[in-house]
Amino acid sequence: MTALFCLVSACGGGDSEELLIFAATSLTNALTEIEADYEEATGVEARISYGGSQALSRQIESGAPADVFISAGAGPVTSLQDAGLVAEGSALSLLVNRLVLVARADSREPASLSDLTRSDYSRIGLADPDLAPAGAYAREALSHEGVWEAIQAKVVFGADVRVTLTYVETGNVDVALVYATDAMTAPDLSLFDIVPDGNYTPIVYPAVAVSESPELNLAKEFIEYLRSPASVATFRRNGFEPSP
Amino acid sequence: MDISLILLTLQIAVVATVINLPIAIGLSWLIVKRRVRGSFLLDVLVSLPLALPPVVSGYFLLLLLGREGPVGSLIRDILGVDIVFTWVAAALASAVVSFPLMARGVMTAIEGVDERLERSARSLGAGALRVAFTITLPLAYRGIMAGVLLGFVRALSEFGATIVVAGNIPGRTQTLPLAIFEKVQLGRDAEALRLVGVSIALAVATILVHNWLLSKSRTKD
Repeated sequence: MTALFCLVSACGGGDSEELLIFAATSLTNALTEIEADYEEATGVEARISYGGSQALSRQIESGAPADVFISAGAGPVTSLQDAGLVAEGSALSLLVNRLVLVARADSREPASLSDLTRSDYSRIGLADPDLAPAGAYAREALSHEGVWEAIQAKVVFGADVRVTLTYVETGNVDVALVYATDAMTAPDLSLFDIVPDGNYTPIVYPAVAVSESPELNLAKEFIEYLRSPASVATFRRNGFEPSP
Repeated sequence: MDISLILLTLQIAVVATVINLPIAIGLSWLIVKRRVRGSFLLDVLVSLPLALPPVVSGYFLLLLLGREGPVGSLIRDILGVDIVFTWVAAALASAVVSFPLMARGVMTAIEGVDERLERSARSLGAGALRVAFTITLPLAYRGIMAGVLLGFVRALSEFGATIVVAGNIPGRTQTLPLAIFEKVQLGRDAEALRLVGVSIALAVATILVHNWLLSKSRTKD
């Protein structure tokens, strides 16, 4: 019985090296591909635990044995840094995500954000700014455009980006502002790249090695691997841009 | 992938059940046979995790077992390891949450044993332990097993406490319910539904055995 348990729960003493990566949920599709490539190239077994960045950061602070942490947004990394859990010199800004407008394929094409004030768009989906960073970015972008007040009455809040995306897919809202990476997962929707980058705080995804990791070198090598041309191509295919 | 996920889920539920059984029997004995002072308080304590949101139990465990927690820091000092975010933490979370279901089943089973039989054994010179192991436990066996299975099936489905104290780490702490949660969150419906199928199969099998044991123990009365 004990032997069986050890088989499935990694009681230690295994031959191959292992790396535990904590990553923001929005990275799932891209990282699943990269994980397979990385394992094949290096023989290291990568395990990836996906979750909300803030939640993952809290878990690492409470002792979760992560080697690498990739966060959506800088905030969760800052709190790790304050706790002394970021390995010195390991933090780098890996990716950038962007906001786009999505609409059902049959809907009218908007030329700019200010078109949202028109009566063609009776309901506009946004992630709740209090619950999801995506919503806060969207509010920032719309305020910057000067249309936030004007569209107030038409806004429908989703609990997170995924839910907001579903609102569009099911026809419950006409358009929504979501991350480019989420928009890529909904091939049936039309994607309009009409949110100017300068309208909102850049959405960066930092990657760091956790200072308490027993595999610090391996962790840093993994982060390097994420910057390789092959990885960058995979990230791009999933809607991310490499951080400049 | 699925196989190791199922094995890990079973491992965590089995270990949770094995931890709980002696405690459930011991407490039941104190409450229904010895009727110790403060039994009613013990009774409340036994059922508490059933009444609380599992996330509360998980948070409590995190405070207790975490790095700064009294138990967590002690274990870290002695063994140099962390308990939180390991499969052991997942098993403990499952144990706490499933305990009331098992304990209530065990209590009912032990209470149902005719006290005259126990008194006769004692009058013939058997000690308390001997009475427990030769009279009470064998007679209550099926009811106890039914309680064990009910606890086991709850441990299999544990989610709220587990994700707080053990996270969601594939191959280490990710059990079936956590894997399903992740697939649903990502909109991977086909994978989620396949795992839902596995979950239903495990639950139905356990419930069938549970009901069979319970009907057997009734016909014996």
